[in-house]
Amino acid sequence: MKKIFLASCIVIVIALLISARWGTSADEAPPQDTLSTPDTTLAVALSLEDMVAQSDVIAIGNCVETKSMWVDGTLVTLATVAVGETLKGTGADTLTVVLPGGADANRKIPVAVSWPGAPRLTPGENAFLFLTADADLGGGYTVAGFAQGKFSIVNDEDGQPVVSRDLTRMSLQGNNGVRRGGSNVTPLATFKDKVNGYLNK
Amino acid sequence: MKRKLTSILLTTSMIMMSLATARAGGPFESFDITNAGPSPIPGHLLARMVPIKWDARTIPVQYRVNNTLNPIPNPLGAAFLSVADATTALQASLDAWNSIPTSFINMQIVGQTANAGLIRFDMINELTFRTSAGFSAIASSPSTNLIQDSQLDHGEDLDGDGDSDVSSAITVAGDADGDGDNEFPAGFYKAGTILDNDVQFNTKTSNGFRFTILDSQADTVTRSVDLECVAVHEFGHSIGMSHSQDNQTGHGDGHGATMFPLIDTGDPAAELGQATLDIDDTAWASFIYPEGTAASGPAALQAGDVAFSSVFGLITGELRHGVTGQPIAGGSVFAQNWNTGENTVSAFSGTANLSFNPANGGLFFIPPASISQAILNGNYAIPVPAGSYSVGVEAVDGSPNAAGQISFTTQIGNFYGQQNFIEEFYNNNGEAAIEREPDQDKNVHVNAGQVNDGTNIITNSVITVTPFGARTNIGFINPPAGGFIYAVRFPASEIAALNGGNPTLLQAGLFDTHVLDASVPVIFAKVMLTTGVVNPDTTATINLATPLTSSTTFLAQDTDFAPFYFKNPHDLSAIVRAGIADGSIQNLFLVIQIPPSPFPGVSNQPPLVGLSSQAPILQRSFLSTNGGLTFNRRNDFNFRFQLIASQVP
Repeated sequence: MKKIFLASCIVIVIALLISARWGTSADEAPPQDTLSTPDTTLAVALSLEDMVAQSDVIAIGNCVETKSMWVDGTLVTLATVAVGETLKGTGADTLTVVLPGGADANRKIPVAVSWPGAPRLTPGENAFLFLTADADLGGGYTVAGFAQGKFSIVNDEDGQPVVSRDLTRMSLQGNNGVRRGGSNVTPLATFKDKVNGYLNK
Repeated sequence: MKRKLTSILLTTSMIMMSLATARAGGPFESFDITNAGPSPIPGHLLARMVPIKWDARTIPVQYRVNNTLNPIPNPLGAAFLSVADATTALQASLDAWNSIPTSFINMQIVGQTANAGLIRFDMINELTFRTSAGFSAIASSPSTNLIQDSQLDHGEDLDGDGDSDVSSAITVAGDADGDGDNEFPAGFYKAGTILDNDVQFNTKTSNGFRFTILDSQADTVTRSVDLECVAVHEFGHSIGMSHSQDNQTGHGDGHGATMFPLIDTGDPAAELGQATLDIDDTAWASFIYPEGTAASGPAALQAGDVAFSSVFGLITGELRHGVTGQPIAGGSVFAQNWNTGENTVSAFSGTANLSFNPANGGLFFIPPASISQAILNGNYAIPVPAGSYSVGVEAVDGSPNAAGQISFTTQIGNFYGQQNFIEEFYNNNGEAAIEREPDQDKNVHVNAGQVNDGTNIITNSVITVTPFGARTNIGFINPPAGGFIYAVRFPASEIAALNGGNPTLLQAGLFDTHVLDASVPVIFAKVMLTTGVVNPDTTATINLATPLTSSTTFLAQDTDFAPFYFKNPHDLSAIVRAGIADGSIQNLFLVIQIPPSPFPGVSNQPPLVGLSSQAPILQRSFLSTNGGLTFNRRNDFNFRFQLIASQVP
């Protein structure tokens, strides 16, 4: 059934009756239903196809700066992203992504606005971004699906770029057993191919 | 490692000490730059993660309901919910937290507000059904909090609206001057103190939800949800609580904590169940706001209150990484009832820093070369009712939650590559990076008002065989009469080559498991490690009659890897080694079987397993639909079953 993030809330679909599909049959076994989890590393989320459809901009880029700003009485974080590749939408060299929450130490009483489960971008971080325009928040772009539309791009143990739900230093993994792919990451090329596949539908 | 058992009467100071050493637990975090030292990044400060909470002087916390959308919009049809009825439901949701006898939190709706805009920092704690165009979540609960210890003087304008928000004439926060917003009593406040909290519920036609208030209105419509179910969760954030990893209590109860970050809006039982607080929720609300810890004010015992120290004790210790030796930031440490095995309360380990740019408010991870300045310790504290517990750990690795769904500290641990250990249990003197039996546990007994200290855990260094990629699907549903038996093959040659061909201990199988209805516990009929062969026609013949080790009525996990710990790994591994050597064992198979129908839950579907269609398909996954007579190879998916081994300790 459909599971939905609360505070962070992302409209979620874990088992996705709304996007259920038939698994392909194999050998002599009869076909069985499977339920597509998002075609990404996400255990729970909007399907990748939904995110592709809902996004105004899909881009791969590097976060070069973050800064907090007051907008309509609340703090947001403006993340400047140097765009390396645009898969959908504007071909701008840089994008401003508006993230909920931020901090202001340049006032007599320093404060922060904290949002449980909000998306974050860190300077230096490479990210695969699904963005929607949001006129309510300064005219920048917000991450589609609250936090779902932001993926970190990191290198796996073999130095290959993979898409990860969280920013992580994969190389520190200490396992020395047989590994045939990470259990929670998707190769960047595979991920990009899927996005392009949905875009070309 | 010597275990210490200390009996310390819980006092206010002791509780504060515990908070100081386990900041990443149930509390939601902001950061503290009071007297902050320089970060390794030039021009930055070290920002210490701290819990956010209401100061006792601001309790009861006063909320106002936005009345500018009345009736409240229904994105699925005609509006039917009035602000008055919603207010009743919202107060009931606040009362779910207010009524915890061991917690002094108290939140009250005191009126309305006519804000035609969006939530903001205005010293009005607003409950609203207005959200921005880009907000696509169901609800949220942002708080404005101090990031530095601060003296708030009379007349201070905290929100910059030209009106005083601090008064020396009051001792409890409230609308002292009658202008519609709150004033704080003048005085000193700690970093993390909440100044303003707003809760917003998404009702937009584009991506919002229909909110219902009657149990009878809970249905399977996925864009319709019980208001109290959502509100109770959001008000947990309002009092400073983080998300929980707990999404299942045990064999008899598929419900988990209210603060688990997902709700199954297609399962009415899950919706209604999540509105009722779990022990994980009540324990943390009590830990953050411990009743009976002051002589006066809200924390003083009043009629109907129960002292925190008369019910709860603490399990404390440190979590370290078995491979790197580092203290772990944001590892999940959980206590299970020793007698029933049910999940009770969980916490997150570590005290950690980020790098803060005071010029523009940016937050950065500290460079890995300076990790010792980023992760100060791996300490944790779990508040539990008096009793006996098994204490275990699991990584915040995306299943069931991503690190970003929990806290800064879980993200910090993830950033440094720490969230990669297998689930295991504390076993006292046997605790080490390489253990014979990771499920061996030690009874950790806690008396009310006492601290059981020294439950120090070292995560295991293991050898994993992971013949699959990222989860792309879960399945299968609609089983035939013979049910489903899933199996994954591990060739003898692969087993023999583990650990460079040196002897290994086969310790566990991990099964990526799921359930469609969140209210239903994930129970499979049987799991086993057994032997078998692959036939020339690509089918497999698997020995289900005499497995190497097995378990029935297997309680798995929801959207996570469920460990099946092998009995007596030492002897089991010796048998496997001998069988491989003499050729009698050609393959090991990890096998899991669904129970017979009918299946519980509104979906009437069996428990599911995680599948990966990500290349390469290794052709090691087999499925039987006739009770195990035939196992057919799957060429479309790798079943996400993992074999865990270790060096011989």
